[in-house]
Amino acid sequence: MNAFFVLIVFLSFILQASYTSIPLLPGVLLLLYLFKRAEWVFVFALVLGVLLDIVLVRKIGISSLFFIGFLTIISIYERKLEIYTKEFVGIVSFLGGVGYLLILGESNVLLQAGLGSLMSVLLFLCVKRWFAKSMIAL
Amino acid sequence: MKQKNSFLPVTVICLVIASLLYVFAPRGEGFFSVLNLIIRPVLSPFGALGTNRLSELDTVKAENRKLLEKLITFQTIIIENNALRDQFQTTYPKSNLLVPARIIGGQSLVALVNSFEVVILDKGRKDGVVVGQAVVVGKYLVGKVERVGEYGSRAMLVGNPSFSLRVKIIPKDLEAQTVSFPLGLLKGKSAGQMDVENVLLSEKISVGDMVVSVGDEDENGIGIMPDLIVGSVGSVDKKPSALFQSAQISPGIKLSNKNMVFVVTGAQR
Repeated sequence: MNAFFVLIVFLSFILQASYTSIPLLPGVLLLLYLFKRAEWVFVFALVLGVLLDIVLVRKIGISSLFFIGFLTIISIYERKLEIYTKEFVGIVSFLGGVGYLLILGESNVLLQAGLGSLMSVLLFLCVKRWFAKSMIAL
Repeated sequence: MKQKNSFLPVTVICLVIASLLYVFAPRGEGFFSVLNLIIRPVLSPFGALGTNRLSELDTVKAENRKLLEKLITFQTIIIENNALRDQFQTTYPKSNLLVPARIIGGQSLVALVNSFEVVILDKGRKDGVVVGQAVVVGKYLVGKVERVGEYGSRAMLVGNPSFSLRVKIIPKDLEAQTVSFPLGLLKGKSAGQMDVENVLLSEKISVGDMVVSVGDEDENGIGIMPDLIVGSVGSVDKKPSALFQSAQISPGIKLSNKNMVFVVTGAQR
């Protein structure tokens, strides 16, 4: 599962840094938080955000602040909600995508956030199917 | 499973670091510019994917663009002649300092299908690039610089929904005595498309007319210079009941097969 997540994070970063404005990283970080539940996910969010801001010539720290805030809100509400469902992943990654795009002042917010959310749900279903045994421990 | 409480110190530390970066290093100077120099070559091959697809059709289109460039030069000369005849004064030719910049990344909704709405260039503050400068290819305006880093910059392209510019529409069958042209506001739409809006209903515009910039440079010569070609009129939306007419614009140039653009620094104007 670790190798799979490394690959997904790397691909999402490359795509978002070089090709598309669809918010892929909020969804990927959400999945990473859900399936790993470790402190380093926050550190990872900080580093990824800074790197993304550097390569896309944005104000450095804006993406990191959003990613960490996003993960913090999820960690606050995780006990009140059923988080290992595709509905939760879909809605939260959609809201995360909308927030991220609004902060950056991007266009086509709803469409892009919808596509990002769809990809997160697909990844979530893949992880659930392929790594079911690893998930029992969670 | 880790307890939620153990996340709190790490979360707070990360938030503090991110806030400090946001407040004290928003422009990405020093260490971050060096980091950018290291990361960029890694990402560069990905950003260049999908370019260099020169086919026979592309060659014909390139020749057509050159002919259009000559046409607009000819039309500009006619306009200048008219001005000379009317006011007995001349406009001195201006020379611009162009900084060649390589496209090292770009963003759009679906980058492989649509043209980019934003591109990342490998030239930044160190090369004299500042916010607001025009980005051109030949005589075609492709966008303007919206953010600048030490070694890189981010340019918003003309097809970006946030892009707007005052333009004039030059008829394809220009007559020598023409002195004024329809004015309008160019606005980018999604997927790299553009519209010219707020054109007076009394003005005559038709398919094939050239759309060129009016110019919005400041006193330092920073901004978009006049008479840069944006595209041509693709279709006209004219309703007798409306106050204004609008037109859909076909882009003059597509960046899909370009690796290099030029930033008009205006330093030697």
